[in-house]
Amino acid sequence: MLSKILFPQYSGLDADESATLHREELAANARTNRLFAVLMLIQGLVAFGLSLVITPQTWAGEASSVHPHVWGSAILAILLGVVPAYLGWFQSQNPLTRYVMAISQASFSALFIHISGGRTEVHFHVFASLAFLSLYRDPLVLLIATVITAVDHLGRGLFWPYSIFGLSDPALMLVIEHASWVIIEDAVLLVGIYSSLREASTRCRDQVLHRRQHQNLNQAIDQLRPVFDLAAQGDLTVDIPDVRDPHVKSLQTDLDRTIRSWNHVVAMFSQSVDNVTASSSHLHSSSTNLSQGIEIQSESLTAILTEVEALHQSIHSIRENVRRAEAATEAANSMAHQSETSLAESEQSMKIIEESADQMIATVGTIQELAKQTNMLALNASIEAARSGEAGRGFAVVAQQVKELAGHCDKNITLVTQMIQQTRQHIQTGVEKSSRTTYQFKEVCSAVASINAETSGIVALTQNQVDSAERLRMQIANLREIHESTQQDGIQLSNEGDILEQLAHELRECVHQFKFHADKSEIQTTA
Amino acid sequence: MPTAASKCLIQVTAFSVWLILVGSTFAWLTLYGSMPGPPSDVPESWPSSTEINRCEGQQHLLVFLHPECPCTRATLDNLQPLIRSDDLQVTLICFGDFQPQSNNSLGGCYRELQSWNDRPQVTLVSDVTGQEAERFGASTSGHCLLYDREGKLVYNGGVTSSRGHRGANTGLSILKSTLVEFDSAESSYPVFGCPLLEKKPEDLPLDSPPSLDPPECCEGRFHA
Repeated sequence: MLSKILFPQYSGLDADESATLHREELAANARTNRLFAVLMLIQGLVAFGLSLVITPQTWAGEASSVHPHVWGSAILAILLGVVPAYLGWFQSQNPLTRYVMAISQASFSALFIHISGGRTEVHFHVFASLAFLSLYRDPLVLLIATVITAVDHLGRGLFWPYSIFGLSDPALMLVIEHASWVIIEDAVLLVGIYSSLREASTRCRDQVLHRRQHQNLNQAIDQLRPVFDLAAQGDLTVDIPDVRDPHVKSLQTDLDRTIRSWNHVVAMFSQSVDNVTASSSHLHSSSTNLSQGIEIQSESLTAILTEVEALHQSIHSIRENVRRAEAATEAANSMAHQSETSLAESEQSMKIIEESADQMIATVGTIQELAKQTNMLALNASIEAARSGEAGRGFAVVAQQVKELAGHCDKNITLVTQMIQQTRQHIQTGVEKSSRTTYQFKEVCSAVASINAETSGIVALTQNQVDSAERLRMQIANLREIHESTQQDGIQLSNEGDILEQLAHELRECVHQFKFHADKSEIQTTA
Repeated sequence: MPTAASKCLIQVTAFSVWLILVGSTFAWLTLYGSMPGPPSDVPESWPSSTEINRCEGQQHLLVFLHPECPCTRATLDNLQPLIRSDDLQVTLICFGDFQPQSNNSLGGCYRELQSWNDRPQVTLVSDVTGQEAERFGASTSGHCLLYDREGKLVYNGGVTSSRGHRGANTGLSILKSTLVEFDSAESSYPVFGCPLLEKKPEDLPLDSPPSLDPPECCEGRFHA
């Protein structure tokens, strides 16, 4: 019964709830004890300070000594301030500490009332002390402080009223009045304390209930933890254990559905990844082939461009050569015309020479006639010389020599005539050849003219060819640019294909980290 | 390693010792505060040897004070409401060479004495060697002697109920009755305060300390 009055918070609690509440109360009391430790030190210092200020010394004539109030307040500051403060700070978990605090606080009230000579205002220290002590939420603490205050008030009120009320006469009514106020405050504080204790009890019961639920939840979670661990390691073939806790039951069901769903998704994903891997491999090979084809095309285009440029160059050279040939044929044509003219002039000269030869032949005939007449004359002279005998001998020798000269002359003229005849024949041959040559030159000129015309045509054609070759070269250059762009795209496509293939492989490795059931049959893949 | 029982015993013992020490200290302070000064022989009529002038035809209140005594303040505060009548001459006899302006020590009552000195019917007297106190038989600070118009002693005692305790008390009531009504059933009350004179070994009483029992007339009204 007494324990229900003093410790109502423990009624109806089991051992676990009581232990939890006790631990909470110990912690709360420890905090309150530390608070009171500071308060006690402050009050002790105030009491000691007041004694130093108000009654520092006692006198006997001229002799002075430390006032007993100083010693008394110092002792009380130690007993009521330092000792409880020490207990409150270093023995805060000790249940006895709060009762020491209650006694000390009530004693401080008595001391301050005594020091003030029973001033009414200081009596409020009692009420403040009781309010502070209610922080302990312990009815016994309040009871102890109230009893000490009551005994102090009753004792001093009856036997030493000026000390507590500043009156000379016993003041039982004042004691009753003060006691009434204390009882009213105690009643209010006790209502608050009991309400607070009930709340603490309810809170502890809820706390223990939550802790038990938490433990059950932890147990259920511990049951499910291996499933999560295995699932985290990629094993989706794990069996979900049966859980009793109703709160976790739904979690277990959801986990089972989740694992199954994951298994299905991963299986489909694995299949898709395989397809993607195969497609990426095909894409990779195709892109590689395409890249290689583009490279070959590029080389061919380069070769074609080189050939076209060479063709363009050769056409250009041909055109230049044809131009030079045209110039040469023009020069040859003019030379041929000049040669034709020269040949005509040469033929004319030959005819003149032929006529001159004819004239020379005639002249040589004349000379030959003269030689013959000279020979006749020499013969006549030798006949005459022979007729003239001895005198004519000289004439006979001269006539002989003239005759020999005439003979030589005749021979030479014959030779000259032969030579002139041969020359004339040669000249005639030359004239004939010149005529033929002239004719041939004319033919050549006409051929050269036709060649010149043809060459002009060829020049025009080569110009067209040059233009065509230039256009072709430009088209090939454009084609090459397009091809280079295509080649870049091809290279990028090949690189992307490589990356895609690598990603597909990585994805496949990731998927292979999972252990799952394929649609119906169990296929275990390990990475 | 102490057992739980021995630990509990130690705690209870320490708690009891602490309670006893606290109670003893309070009891000692209470006893100290309640210890009156020793009784002394007070002249029933105004002594001729005194150098203090008595105003003829007026009541004369002599208050023997130690200016350094902390209890003096309570005596002055209690006397304050009584000093109203022009028919009353008050002389405050301060032990020692009293210089109110030059001394303001902690615990002393110089400021209060100076304010009393400003009153017309109040006279402050320095009792350097304590001769006046000896002439009037005052041995404790706060000792009040009221002489009537004829110079007869009508009140002998203190006006505080213990050391330094201001507020209503029997002594003050007796003095008030005597002043106002010129008549009182009692004429004496214990004096609580510091000794005015140093105790010489030969002066120390060999008998038991004086009792706090009130005079018979105060029985039922005063509790020491």
